[in-house]
Amino acid sequence: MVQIYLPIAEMSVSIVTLLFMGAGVGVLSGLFGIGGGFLLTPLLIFLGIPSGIAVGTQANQSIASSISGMLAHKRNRNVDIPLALIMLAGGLAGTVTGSSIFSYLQQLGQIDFLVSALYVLFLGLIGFLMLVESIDAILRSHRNPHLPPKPRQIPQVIARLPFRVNFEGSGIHISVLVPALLGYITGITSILLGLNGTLLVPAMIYLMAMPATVVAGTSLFQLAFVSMLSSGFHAAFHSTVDIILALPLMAGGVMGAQIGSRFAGRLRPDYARLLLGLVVVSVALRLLIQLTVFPDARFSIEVTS
Amino acid sequence: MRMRLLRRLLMILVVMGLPHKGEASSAIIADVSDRSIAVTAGFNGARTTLFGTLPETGDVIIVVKGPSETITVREKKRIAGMWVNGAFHTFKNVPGIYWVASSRPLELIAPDEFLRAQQIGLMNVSLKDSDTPDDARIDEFSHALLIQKAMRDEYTFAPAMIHVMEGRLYRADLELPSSAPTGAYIATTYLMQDGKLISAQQTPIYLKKEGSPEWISNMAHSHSYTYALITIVFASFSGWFSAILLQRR
Repeated sequence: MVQIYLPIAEMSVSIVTLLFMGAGVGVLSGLFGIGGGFLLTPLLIFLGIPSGIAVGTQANQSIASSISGMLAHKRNRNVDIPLALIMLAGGLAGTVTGSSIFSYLQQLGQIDFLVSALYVLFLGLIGFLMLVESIDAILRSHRNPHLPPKPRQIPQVIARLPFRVNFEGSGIHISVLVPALLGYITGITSILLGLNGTLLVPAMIYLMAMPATVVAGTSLFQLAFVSMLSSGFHAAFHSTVDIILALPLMAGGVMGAQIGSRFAGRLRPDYARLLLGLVVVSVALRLLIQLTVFPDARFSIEVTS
Repeated sequence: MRMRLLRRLLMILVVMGLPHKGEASSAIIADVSDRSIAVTAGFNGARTTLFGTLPETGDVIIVVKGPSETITVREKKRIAGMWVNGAFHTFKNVPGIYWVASSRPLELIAPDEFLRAQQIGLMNVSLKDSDTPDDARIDEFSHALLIQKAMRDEYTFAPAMIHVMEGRLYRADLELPSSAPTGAYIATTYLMQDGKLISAQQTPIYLKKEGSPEWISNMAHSHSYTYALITIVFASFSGWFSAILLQRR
């Protein structure tokens, strides 16, 4: 175990652990087009990294993993650029809003509780919906393998919104308000929770009925730029980006992402959604147990200056 | 500085000249093998030796305190089935590191009042919350802080061993965890006889980032905008480069 000293977190960790952590998260990221922050941030905190530095450094490493993943998808023309740009505009505004919410919650001293509670809420809801839908799809195809998959439809309320535009890359006709608002919400959750693609990907599948092939590439495109702003805010205003911590995570992450995206082509989409649903639900359950049954310790200490 | 050095040299000469009777000088001569410890890229905690000579035989205690920190202790309470942060206390001037060593068990060396007054031994470290000093539960919170610090190896539960040779030379190994804060540390050496303090001596130790950790930490804190830009460009480049590299294969 080769230890390296993290100059910002001011402690040493094993470089091997960081490489494996990055790779594991990278595989999921490549498979589903999610940022993986929902796994990486809690893992880093578990290693003893202060939570602010865990969130900030995770944002920095997700720049690398999302650019790498996005370029791989772009080669296959799986990025809907106009749609991604609208989501990005919303995402950048959301990051700015999220940054001020973050400072406010930090003053209240309740940030870790709120982060855990929101994680459980968002992840639980998304994971549950994905599980129900993917199991339903798998059962349908088992009953009648020749039946084409049920075409997904945009929910009525969303379909009626004004300013509808044709997005050719995704082959959908939808109001520009939908991607803008989705981008905004994920921008907020990105800087607060490190939750970005995890929220965006299911929303693109279920609320916008985008074909699975373009979802990952498009979300990674938006994610790359939102992570840049998020990482920039953390480094410039809170000094919470540790470049030495980010480095092995990136190296492991890009390797994992390549493995993941290679498997992504072979995995049937409904099975992929079932798998992601299971991962998301189990993380939510783990956090729920920690929140309601066993906290880590009754007392916690934090160096405030 | 120069005066102290001169005095120290003088003391060594005095002790060497008068090897037996201690009346001439009752001072301990204390030193550390590394007065300045560098925190470099490969830093994984540090180990250094505290040693010196005693003016006369007796028991030795050494306490090392690290740079002061402000620490908030929070207690979780259950609201509607969920654990939420409840009461808290903020302690100022908390030593970042607390290490203690002794030649025999502390309770055999000195009376409780002395240990408490000098804050020797983990449970004698006294912490005060200057904002709410009268709170009845302050002890509970300060004990929680001591235990949490000890679990991170930043405070020592049981005193480390001091070896005394020929009744006059002593030596102890100080171990610092990798999370030890940088800054000035003070090592205080006490010479005790029959439960009474004969002499005490303070020695400073400095822990300082050097090389790449110093540069990165300085950039991140003093030039945070430049650092933010560098980290973004660096991450973007790594992502782009890895995509090209892996595409070729």
